[in-house]
Amino acid sequence: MQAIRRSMARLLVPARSRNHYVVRHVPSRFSFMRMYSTEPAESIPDDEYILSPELRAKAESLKAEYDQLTASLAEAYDNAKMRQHAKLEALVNYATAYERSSAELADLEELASATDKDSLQLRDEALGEMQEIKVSMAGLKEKIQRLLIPPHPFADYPCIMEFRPGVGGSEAAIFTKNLMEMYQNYCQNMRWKFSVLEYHPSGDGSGITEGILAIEEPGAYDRLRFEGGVHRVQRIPETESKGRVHTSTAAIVVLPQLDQGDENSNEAERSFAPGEVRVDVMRARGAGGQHVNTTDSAVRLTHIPTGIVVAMQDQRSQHKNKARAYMILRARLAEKEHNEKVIKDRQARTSQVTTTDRSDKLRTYNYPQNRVTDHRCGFTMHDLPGCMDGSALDTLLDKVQEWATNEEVKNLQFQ
Amino acid sequence: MRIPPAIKLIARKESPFLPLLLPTLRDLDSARRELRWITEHFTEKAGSSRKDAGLMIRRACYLRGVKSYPLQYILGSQPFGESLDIKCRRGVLIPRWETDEWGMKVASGIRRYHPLFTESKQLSSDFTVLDLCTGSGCLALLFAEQLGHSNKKCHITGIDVSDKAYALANENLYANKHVIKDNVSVSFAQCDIFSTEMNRLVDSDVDIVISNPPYVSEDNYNSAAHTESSVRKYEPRLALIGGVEFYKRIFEIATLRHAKAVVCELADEQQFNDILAATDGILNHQQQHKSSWNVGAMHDGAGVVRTIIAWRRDADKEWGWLRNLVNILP
Ligand SMILES: C[S@@+](CC[C@H](N)C(=O)[O-])C[C@H]1O[C@@H](n2cnc3c(N)ncnc32)[C@H](O)[C@@H]1O
Repeated sequence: MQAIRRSMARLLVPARSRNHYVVRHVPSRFSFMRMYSTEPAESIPDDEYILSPELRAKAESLKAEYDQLTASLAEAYDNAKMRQHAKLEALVNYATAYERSSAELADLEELASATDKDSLQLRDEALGEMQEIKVSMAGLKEKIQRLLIPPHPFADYPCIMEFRPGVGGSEAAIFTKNLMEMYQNYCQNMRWKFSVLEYHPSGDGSGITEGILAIEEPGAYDRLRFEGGVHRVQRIPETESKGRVHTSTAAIVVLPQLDQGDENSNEAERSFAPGEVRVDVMRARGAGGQHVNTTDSAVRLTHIPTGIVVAMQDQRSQHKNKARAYMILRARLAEKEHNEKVIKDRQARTSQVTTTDRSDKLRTYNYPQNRVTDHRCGFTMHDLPGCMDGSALDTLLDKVQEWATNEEVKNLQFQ
Repeated sequence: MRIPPAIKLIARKESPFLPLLLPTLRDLDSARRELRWITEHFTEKAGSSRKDAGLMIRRACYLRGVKSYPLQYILGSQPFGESLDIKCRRGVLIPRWETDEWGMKVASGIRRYHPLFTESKQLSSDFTVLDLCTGSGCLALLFAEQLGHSNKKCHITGIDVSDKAYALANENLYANKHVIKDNVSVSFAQCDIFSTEMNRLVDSDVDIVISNPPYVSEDNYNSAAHTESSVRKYEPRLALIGGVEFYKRIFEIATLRHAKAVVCELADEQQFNDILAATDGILNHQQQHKSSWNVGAMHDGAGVVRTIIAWRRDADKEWGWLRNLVNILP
């Protein structure tokens, strides 16, 4: 409990350059759960129990549909209507309960705001009751969201993050390295296990041309999947003599890790048909065999049907490089298949949809202004060091998640 | 070939050890990778003493980069197969990636396609492997690891003439025993495969003979274009120089022990043809009668003809799947 209090205390710390306060650290959802079950006095943050207006409206309209169906079914039996009615039932129950609680909460709030001496006792009771209602609303919110927005099929998986420089030459390579470190720091803060699968320093060693991180935490994919896309940095490169601000980019790919990080397992390899993958070793030309002794153990896989190529070379063991390459190949294919399915499903419904995946230039890291702006949700955080050292990244991830949920709601269809 | 000064400069800026590695490894990427392996190894070895680690790393990089000393002798091991760690020491050949590659293909193929492993009714006989010229024991242990993924009782014997190899193979068996399952037994023996003692040593029949015998010709051994100077300088001559006589002897032993299949590593396509010519009397591969052998060769991942694969025509039911590995016919 002490640790939690300490972390709550860290919620409000002065930002480094401005004199207003910023949220620096928010414990994960799970620690909140623990928190209010053992110590109801801690208040529950709004976004834990308040349903977004979009979701609320959606639930409202589905409830209307349900009522209509009820009425129409009372008149004449219809198989299709009956089925839709049954489908909506659970949602309507939750939504009704949620609305009821929400109304009760409003009443209690009024009581709790009373200031005269006589109502003091009442006020305390109201506060306690509000807490209970919020807890139950948080549960209902979760259930309604799950029904309206089905969870991503890979939500519970660990993930793989790939980092590559975009435009901006060596400064882009440096930024790519900075970004990879940012997520490593984040994992460390979260006490998530991770390992570096590949790490290729750039020509002069100051940045990287490629980096691959495996984050072993179940659910890491769900938390980080919106980090995939183009990240932009604006700063004065160390090598820039005239002190001009440069803009460079790095691209991140986030994949679900379907196979265990255990590189001795052949699980991923077995999921491919014979002949589906071509395996090449990339060795120097020459007599080979007993004539030479190389430490080169690089392995390259080519997935013939899609042309996807994965190369691994960081391990001394040829087999481990191969097993890792298969793990990444499988992850890339799974993601590709899923994305294609999502796009197809959406096109089937409407031609005008915004997609939450991989928008270009999703975030800007501006060093001179000490700010990070996420262009999707419009959120700006004036704590660049906190972001890069991983401690403030959670706040940003929360905002992005919120935005993504709202996007999903816009594309919503209840099936 | 000189290393460009720009590369040297970058290396010096990055780490004091990196420039030491460049003369041998030539490019930054390889040098960085080996530096990482060296650093990881000696940091762990030195434990808390950072000063010791630094000294060990410097010495290792000097040996590796300036003296072209094999990394595997410096670190003392080479990963092999799925999760074997083969100890490496002066006097015994370092396992090669090509051997790892074909060994995995053949051993996992046996487990997947050989009737003794695939047929559900328990066939009474055990499966036996003979590894001639076993050296560090890497191939014998790789087969032990792979066949351990089944329940079939297997016996694997490795033979080598060198006492250094015999001692190291036994150490490797001990060091990797956690990887080897109970259904598999491995033993090593010291013997010259050309001696008559060989006949006494292996007195029962075997299913398959595997071997990576010395196959570098005297000429190629002395040609820098063929054989790396560090191989010549640091690895044992006894493990390297050899030729057709070894393959003839291997097939003789295979015939004597009624082996149904033989897979051996070799130098190149020329040697494959030489072996075919020299062993036709034993294999009768050009004839179609039952006691003759099917023979072919397989490329390695770099596209060089690397193994000879042979199985008896009357054992096609058990070993016909080897055909899928063959990409060169006589
Ligand atoms: C190329 S090394 C192969 C070692 C190991 N099988 C491998 O793949 O790394 C050849 C081995 O054959 C052994 N050898 C050479 N002549 C031999 C002979 N007449 N009888 C038995 N072993 C011999 C050498 O000691 C050496 O260990």
